[in-house]
Amino acid sequence: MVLEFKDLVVSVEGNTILNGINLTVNGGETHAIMGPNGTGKSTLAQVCMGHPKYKVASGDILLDGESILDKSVDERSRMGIFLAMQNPIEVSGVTNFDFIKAALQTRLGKDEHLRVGKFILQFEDASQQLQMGKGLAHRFLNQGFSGGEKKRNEILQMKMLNPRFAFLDEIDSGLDVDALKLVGQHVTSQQSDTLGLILITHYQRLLDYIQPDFVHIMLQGKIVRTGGQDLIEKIDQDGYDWIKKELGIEDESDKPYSLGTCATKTMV
Amino acid sequence: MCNKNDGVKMNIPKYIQQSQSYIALSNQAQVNHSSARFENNQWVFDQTEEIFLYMDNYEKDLNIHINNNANIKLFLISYNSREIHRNLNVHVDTHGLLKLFSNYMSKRPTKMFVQRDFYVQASGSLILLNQITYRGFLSLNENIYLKGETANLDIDLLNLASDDDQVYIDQHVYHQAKRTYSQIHNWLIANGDAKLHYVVNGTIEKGYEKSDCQQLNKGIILSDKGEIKVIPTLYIDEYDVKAGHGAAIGQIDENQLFYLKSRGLDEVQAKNLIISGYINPFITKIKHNKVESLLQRRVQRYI
Repeated sequence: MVLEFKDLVVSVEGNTILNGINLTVNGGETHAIMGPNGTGKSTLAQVCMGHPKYKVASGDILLDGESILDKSVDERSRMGIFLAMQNPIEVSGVTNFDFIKAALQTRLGKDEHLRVGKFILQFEDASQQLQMGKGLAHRFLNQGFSGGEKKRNEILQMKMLNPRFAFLDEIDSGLDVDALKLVGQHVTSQQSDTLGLILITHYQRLLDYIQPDFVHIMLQGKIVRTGGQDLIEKIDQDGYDWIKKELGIEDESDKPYSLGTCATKTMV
Repeated sequence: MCNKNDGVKMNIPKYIQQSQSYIALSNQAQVNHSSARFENNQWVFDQTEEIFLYMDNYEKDLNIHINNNANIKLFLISYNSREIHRNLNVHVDTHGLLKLFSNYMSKRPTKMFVQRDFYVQASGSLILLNQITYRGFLSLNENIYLKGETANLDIDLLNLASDDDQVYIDQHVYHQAKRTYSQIHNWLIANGDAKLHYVVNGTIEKGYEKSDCQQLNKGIILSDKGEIKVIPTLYIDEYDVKAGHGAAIGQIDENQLFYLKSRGLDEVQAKNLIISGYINPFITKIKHNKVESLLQRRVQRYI
């Protein structure tokens, strides 16, 4: 099992966000993608999931050698791609239980039926492990959840859906130290020879609990450096300025820009 | 399905016939299996009871009286197969409680014009659950008069429409006593070429202080040509009151759709789940398994 990004260029509303991404994630590997805000890390995850907002200008995304660009969002999910979102969406009136049950049912063949008893036990077990409280099944999807609960609910869904490749997009944001440790332990417990994990984060703290095999730094829509644990430590100590300097990258915000044409001028 | 009364056949659904209490009305006949009595051209209720009120192409005026301290849950089920004009007058006496679930249905696209007037006396309670899944054209003009102190009203209305359905609803609540309370919550869904037009009015007249008048309207348009218009209006002539109103109408949230799809649900499954979540608060208020399951089945057909 392998997920590959090949020279991927992606734009949104005419602005190029990903500018030639090349990345290969094998089943069983854990990759961490780090970088400052606005460098395209979340875009990479969203594009892989098939978010309609993003347009792939060129390049490809391959799952086991086959392009998935023509696949819909739900098809990609059923093929085994999972995205734990940075801002999980609230859906009023839909219970967690019904939602996850519906998601699992989409993975069954025509003649297969979900074994509800087994599902309930699995759900309760996962919910307990993630310390989500007893009423989780009947709570509306992410509605009224704290930031930490939302993130743990994403991990719960990942456990239940058992994907082949999972993006965890800033799963550490909004988590206190204990919750971060809990989430880290659960993600680690799911690491296997078959699951490919892509962690998107700004900080080292998540990587204290989940050991990545590869660390990538993204800047201006590109992976500019790949390394191991040493890279995490360097970022934690020195931030990202050193690599910008090394590569001669100038921050967009530092460049002068035009405010446009003054309206009075055109009137005159 | 059929029940005979004085030699006249009436198509009463089986689940209603099997219920403990029911009244069935057609232009030619009436069947009463309840504690209610028909006197002076009105149905009088004075106990605690759950009753089905079934109307088969019924066109006469219907008058209902809920006596002091009565606690009545009425399931009004109306089937039409032709154009119908109907008036409903309801009086809720002091400390009376009426929970009225109404479902107007048509066997084929047809027109229906309904005028409903409710009068609620002191400490009386009126709870209206209006399910509108009418095929064709429906005009409903509903006036509620809160006439006694602390009279209160709660309306939840679910309107599902598709194809060429047209629904015109006028709701008007008149606060005509002190410390009266009203709340209207409309849940509207338009698919196909359906048009839903709502005028929602609340009036608090001078001198009726400490009253509270609230309106909330939500609409989801599932198609390009569907149309939902809501005009929520408050007429307030008293300072010491609470009042609020609002309307939010739009398409299904794209972010919600993406989220559900990202877990494997296709477009139809995701929309179904979002819509069922949207109408769940209405369904849970019905508190009757059969009526709930019939509504759920109908919802699937609409989406």
